[in-house]
Amino acid sequence: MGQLILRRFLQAIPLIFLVSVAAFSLTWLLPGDPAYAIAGIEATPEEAAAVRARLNLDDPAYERYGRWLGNAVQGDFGKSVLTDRPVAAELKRRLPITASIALGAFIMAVIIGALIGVLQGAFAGRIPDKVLLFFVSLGLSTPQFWIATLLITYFGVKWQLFPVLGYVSFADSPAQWLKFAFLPMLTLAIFTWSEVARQLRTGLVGVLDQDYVRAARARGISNTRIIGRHALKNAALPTITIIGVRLGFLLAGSVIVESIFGIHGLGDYALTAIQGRDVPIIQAVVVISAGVVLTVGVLVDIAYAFLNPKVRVR
Amino acid sequence: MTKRRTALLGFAAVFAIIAGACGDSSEPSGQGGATSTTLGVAGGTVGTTRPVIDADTTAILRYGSMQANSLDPVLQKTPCEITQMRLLYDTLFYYDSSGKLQPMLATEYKLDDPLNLTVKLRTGVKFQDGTAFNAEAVKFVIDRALTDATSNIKGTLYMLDSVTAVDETTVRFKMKSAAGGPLLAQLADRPGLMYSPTALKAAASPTDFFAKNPVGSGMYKITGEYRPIESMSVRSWDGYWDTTTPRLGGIDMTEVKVDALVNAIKSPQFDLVPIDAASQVAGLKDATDVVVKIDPSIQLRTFLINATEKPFDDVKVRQAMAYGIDRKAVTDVMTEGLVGPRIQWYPKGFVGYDAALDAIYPYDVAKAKQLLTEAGFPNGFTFNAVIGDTSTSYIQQNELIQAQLKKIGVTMNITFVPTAQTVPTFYPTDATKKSGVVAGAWGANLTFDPDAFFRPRYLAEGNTNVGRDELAGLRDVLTQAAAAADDATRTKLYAQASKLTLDSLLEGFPLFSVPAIQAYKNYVGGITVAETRCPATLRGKYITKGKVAVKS
Amino acid sequence: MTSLVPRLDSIATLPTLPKAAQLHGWRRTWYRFRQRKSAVIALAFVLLMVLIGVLAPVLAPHDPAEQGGFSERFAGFSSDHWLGTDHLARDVLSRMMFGLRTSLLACVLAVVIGVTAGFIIGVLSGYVGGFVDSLLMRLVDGILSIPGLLMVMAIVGILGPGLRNAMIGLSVVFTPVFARLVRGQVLSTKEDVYVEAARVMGAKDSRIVFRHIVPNSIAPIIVQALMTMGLALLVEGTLAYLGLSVKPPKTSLGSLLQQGFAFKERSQRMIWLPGLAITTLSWAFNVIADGLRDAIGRQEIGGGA
Repeated sequence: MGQLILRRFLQAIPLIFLVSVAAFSLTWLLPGDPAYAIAGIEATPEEAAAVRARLNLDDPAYERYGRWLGNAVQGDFGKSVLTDRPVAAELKRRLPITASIALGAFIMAVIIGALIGVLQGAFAGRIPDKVLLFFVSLGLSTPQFWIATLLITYFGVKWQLFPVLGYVSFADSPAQWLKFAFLPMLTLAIFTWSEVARQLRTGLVGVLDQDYVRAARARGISNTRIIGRHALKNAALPTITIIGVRLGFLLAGSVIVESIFGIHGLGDYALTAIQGRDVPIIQAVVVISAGVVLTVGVLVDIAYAFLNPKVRVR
Repeated sequence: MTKRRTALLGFAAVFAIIAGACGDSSEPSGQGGATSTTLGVAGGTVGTTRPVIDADTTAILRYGSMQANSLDPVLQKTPCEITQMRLLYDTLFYYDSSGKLQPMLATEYKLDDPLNLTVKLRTGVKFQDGTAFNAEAVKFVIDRALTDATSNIKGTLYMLDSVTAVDETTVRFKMKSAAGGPLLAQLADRPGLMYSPTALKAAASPTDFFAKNPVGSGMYKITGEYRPIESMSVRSWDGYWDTTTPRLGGIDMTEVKVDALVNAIKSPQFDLVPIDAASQVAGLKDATDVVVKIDPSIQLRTFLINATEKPFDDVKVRQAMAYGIDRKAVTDVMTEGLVGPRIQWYPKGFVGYDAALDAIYPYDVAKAKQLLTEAGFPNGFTFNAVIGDTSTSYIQQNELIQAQLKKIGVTMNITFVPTAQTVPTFYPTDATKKSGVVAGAWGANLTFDPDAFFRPRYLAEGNTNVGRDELAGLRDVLTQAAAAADDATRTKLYAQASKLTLDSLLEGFPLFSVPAIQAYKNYVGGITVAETRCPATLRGKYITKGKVAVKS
Repeated sequence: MTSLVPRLDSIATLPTLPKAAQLHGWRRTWYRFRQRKSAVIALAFVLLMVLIGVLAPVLAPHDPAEQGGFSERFAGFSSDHWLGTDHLARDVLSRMMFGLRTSLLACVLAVVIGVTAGFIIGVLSGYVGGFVDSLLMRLVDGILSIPGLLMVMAIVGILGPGLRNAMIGLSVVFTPVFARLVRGQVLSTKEDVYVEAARVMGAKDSRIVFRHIVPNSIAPIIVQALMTMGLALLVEGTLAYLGLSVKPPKTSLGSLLQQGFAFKERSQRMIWLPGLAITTLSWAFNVIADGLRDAIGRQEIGGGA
């Protein structure tokens, strides 16, 4: 087991490297002159040139990449082009915000999604399954920014149940955190729980179709018991894979959600950076989110191996 | 003032209100003025307003905009950040809401001769670190704006040669060219913002000073962490010299996305927000505790033309654009009919206005077509207009213009650039290069002193001059106007400058003035004129004790 | 869905099985698909929408760019404007039709490019194996490790905003999913006895790919492609919301929704109409995918999507 974990982590390292090169070359290709963004609207050419020189914007790309990588490994992602503030400090501040919301949404999605999926599995083909399927498909096909806007309009403005904007950190006040983060988490969770439910239902239906389950049912064992005892564990495997993939999706979803709910997390940081062509931030965010996604991938593999001993041998 | 909705007032009516409100202006506003800048003697104090009895001096105002990207006056990153800076630093002078130059940290000024301006400073004023505000401080601050390597506002002080501290409270400004008016205007603007030289020198670096703990002599002191284009908080400073202007316990400013502003002010989370889109006003109809105030602003929307690019190098083609765009229709849609269209830069009552220009370029399709034919385009032509990709309202504006130009046979395609890159796209880094931009939807902020408006746009060295082309004859007029000592001459010369710009249409023409819309809870007082977010005056705003509605 | 019920509850009563059992391959799938009422309705809806999109220039009652007067803005439903008018007094129905056309075309294009690229990578990776396989799979992992939307945004950032670039970005994001899917199919098909046999008998690689691998992969690819269509419509909407999609005067469903947001205080209809269009269309694609998956049967899909 330990060897597997180690191997998977070692495999992730060249990937991160690949992503960092890609991120660097992507942003290197971005059009426009960032010097002006720093020097300001009224800057003269000399001032802009001074900015270019200060930030080494005129050096060859590989040199800048080498320098950037060397610093990044030490946790220094450079300074924001637009605000001139260290990127690493902002990441440190913003990552927990996004992580807490993504994690909250994730837990919400797994619990509700599992509940729906199991219910659907248990009642496969009957009315409850069909009703739930309606909502699951709806959840999979409604744009997040639309969901968010509707939630704000009703829960925030009309009924004033939740704040419409902003964020309070969990450490400051868990109750306030929940109040502020609830609608964003809900927005993020709807798509993911629909995915989890769909996957789980498919898995359960598949398992329930297996010969040994049919045999069990023939012996008079109830559907519920079959699901609880046997089917769930087997159906959980592909579901875990989906869940792992979806965590990356939640990170991306935070771009929209944070922008609408006025939360200054990683997603908002990424969006502002992409709109403002703030190269150092885009690089850092891409690499960091890839790191998070890969780490989750490794964790999923481990969970998979834990649940399914067959995998361990490979 | 409760539930007052000036929404349906036209331009003229609103200006009348402003003129009437002159006497009780409780804030040094930079907005919507109507009279000329005088070069006469100024005196008195800022706080000549009626004292407000019901202000809660511990209340925190929550404001839904925070666009400051730099708190260093000499490092301009956005034109909006002066909103935040004015809370921390006072200026030497300020323009009141009627556009009159008023004393602030300076009490009086005198033009000794065309090239020498002497300014008397207010005595007993301290910076927030306890050090004295004096002539040496003024000299330090102005010198830094002129000479610091990071300063990008040097151009605004083009007329200034040197500053001398004559004694503790007297400063002499020596000019290279006679431009007393424009210099005073700058001392009421960004270069005139005063911060503590002692504290700046004591800080690890200027960047550190302005990012972490800037010290001015303003009504408010920065508190907590300042996060560029995100959030900033200020708290009332006990040692402030002006004790009569109403104040708050502090202001918490948070940047809110344009689409979210209506929801923000309807929620209990905000007290005051700027509203950017006129169409959003409809969403506030049912909010009984929210007041919506609408006034004309100094922000203009313009149709930008680069006269060095074909086919706009022909003045007839440029004029065809001016005749062929129905400014009234554009204005109606863009402002929901709140304001009228605009063809000249300055409105009536401002220096720079010329009554004769009001009738120039009426909407006239036949005339536009005829001009195009004369210019050799009987079948029209196709051109590209540049817009920022996230600027929804600019996109709408250009959709309207697109449809109108089609009627004169002109096809306008739209090219998107990242919004953050619009400025470098329009005005390239390298001043020897002209911009490749042919035309675009653009904006412009008027200045009370027209010098600072015309100079950067129409003179060859101007940094907001899209074609880097000089408008022939304008330099002379601006030079004479800057040196003019009396209002009549200034008014006449700047009207002449306006005419030159509109006859040639070198940098395009205005379409309308963006209505300034502010929405606020009915317990917020001190709002005499609505302002856009950019810039807005938060000094002088207050919240009533017990949050009762302000009586009008 | 209906055919699953009897199999779950009792093996004895299988009303549909006898006839289904007589049918083979696609005919059987189609027969089983037809049993799913919701899937059939969804398919009919999608076909109708495609038809409307294709025929938009003929069907649209007005020029979508034609603007009316100031007072004709935000008009309600009327015989002249079935779905009312927008902020520039343009006909909403006509704009929706053209928006539908653009959105469908763009999403189909993104999915087709994604499928094609994914198929090529998947076959190369699975069939050739070895170094090529590990290289391609690292690439795929690399793309997958960057959150999709962030990736699309970055790509659109480089190429500049616009529908075409947004769709190129989307297809890059979709490619790895199909590459993995196809690779898995190839690997399992390769092990099959008959492929083994074909190779022993000296069949050419290309023949093996087209005779054995393609037919085996096509069903799961179609299911995945339909689901991806649903997702593509959502992402197009999201990109439009962020101002990264079509340029005026062109419209897409997403750009109509985005414009609607700017005027939501004046007319809620401007969000609801394009919003509902995106949701129902995306939904229909998902329902068809679900129906088809069930119709094909799990064993042929080969695990989770």
